[in-house]
Amino acid sequence: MKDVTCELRSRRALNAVMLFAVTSLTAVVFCVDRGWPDYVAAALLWLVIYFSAVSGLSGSFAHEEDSRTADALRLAALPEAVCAGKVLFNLALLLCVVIVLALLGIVMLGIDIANWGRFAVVLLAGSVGLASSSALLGAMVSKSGVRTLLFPIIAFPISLPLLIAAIKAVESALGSGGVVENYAAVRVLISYSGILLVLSLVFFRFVWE
Amino acid sequence: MFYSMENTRTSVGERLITLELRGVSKSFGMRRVLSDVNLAFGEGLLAVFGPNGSGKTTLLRIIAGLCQPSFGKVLVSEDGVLVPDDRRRIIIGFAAPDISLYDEMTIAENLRFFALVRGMLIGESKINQIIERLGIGSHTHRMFGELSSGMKQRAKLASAVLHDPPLLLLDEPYSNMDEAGVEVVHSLIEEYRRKGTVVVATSAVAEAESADMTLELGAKM
Repeated sequence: MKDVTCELRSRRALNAVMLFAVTSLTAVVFCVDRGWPDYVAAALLWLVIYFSAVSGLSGSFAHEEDSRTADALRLAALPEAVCAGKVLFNLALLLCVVIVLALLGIVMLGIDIANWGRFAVVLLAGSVGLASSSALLGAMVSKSGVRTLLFPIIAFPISLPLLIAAIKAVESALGSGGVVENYAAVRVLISYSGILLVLSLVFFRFVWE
Repeated sequence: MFYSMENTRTSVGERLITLELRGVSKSFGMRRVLSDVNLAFGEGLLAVFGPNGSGKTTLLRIIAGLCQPSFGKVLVSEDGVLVPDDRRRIIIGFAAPDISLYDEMTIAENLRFFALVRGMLIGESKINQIIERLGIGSHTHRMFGELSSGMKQRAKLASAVLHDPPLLLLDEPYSNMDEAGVEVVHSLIEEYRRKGTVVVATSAVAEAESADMTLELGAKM
């Protein structure tokens, strides 16, 4: 709740993430005609979500270090509690972006969703994975002077399998692919996001302390 | 350097803390800040004294577990039982100029948050009591970021004593304080030295004079 309270009062991350997300999607709308294949729509949606996450979620721990509150948190809270709090905050922020982007995608890009349930599950699972990895990597780079450069570099190899699985899974929710392929993509996405969440909670202590 | 002090106080119902530093050294790159510091201290007030750059803040950070020594170790015992490093935070309260509270939250919200993450179930009355004790009652609902330096210092002290720690570490506690603030901090230190252990880092000789023990660090600039 602390992160949400601070964010609602400062709008630091929300502004950065929303601005990037809406600007990029609007730019695409004006440049490309409607009627593209599902895999292009899915890839476009996840690329915007991913880069929005990179632009906004990495700053959460950096701000704690810059404002000198990180040590107060280290002294008071268990690392696992700090990690869980950051993952939940990142997830809440990301879900706001995802919902706005999904609505914009449907209205402005004319994305036609065949399976709404799967679409929601995929966006949620992908967001959990991105929120978890962002929390761990954000803490890792927070003390670095070149963190804005470092975060995307180390986030990319970890996020790549997640992105591929998420794109495939969204594509399946839009109606493409066979039944077996569709379930496989969703299962891979949920599994990988689950692994990222567990790894973040387990290894956060070593990064944080 | 070796310093030692026997426990002379009897502590009934209080937790008896013993702080021991064994050959603690710390270097940042090629610059050695602390060199072979040895110390054993029980209850009371320990003043860590020295000029700017002598390693006072670093020593307090090492004791708090926020920083690892390059060599040596810090042992903290509670009632004769060694406290593991990862549990040391529970018995320590630490206020320092380079540790802040959240600018976007009020003093009361900050204290409520830190009580919550420490797993404490304390009511509003206890929080108000601590706030009043530090003389910032009229600023309870002001954002921490809007406070003056002195008021911020008092709020940080309130956060440090929120869990009534038996080991209180204070780095330059009188900095930015007006006369009333100095009096508040002085009485707080006196209260905690009677019921536990207080370590104060200071560069002012006068502040170190009333201590039960003084650890003087030399400048290593």
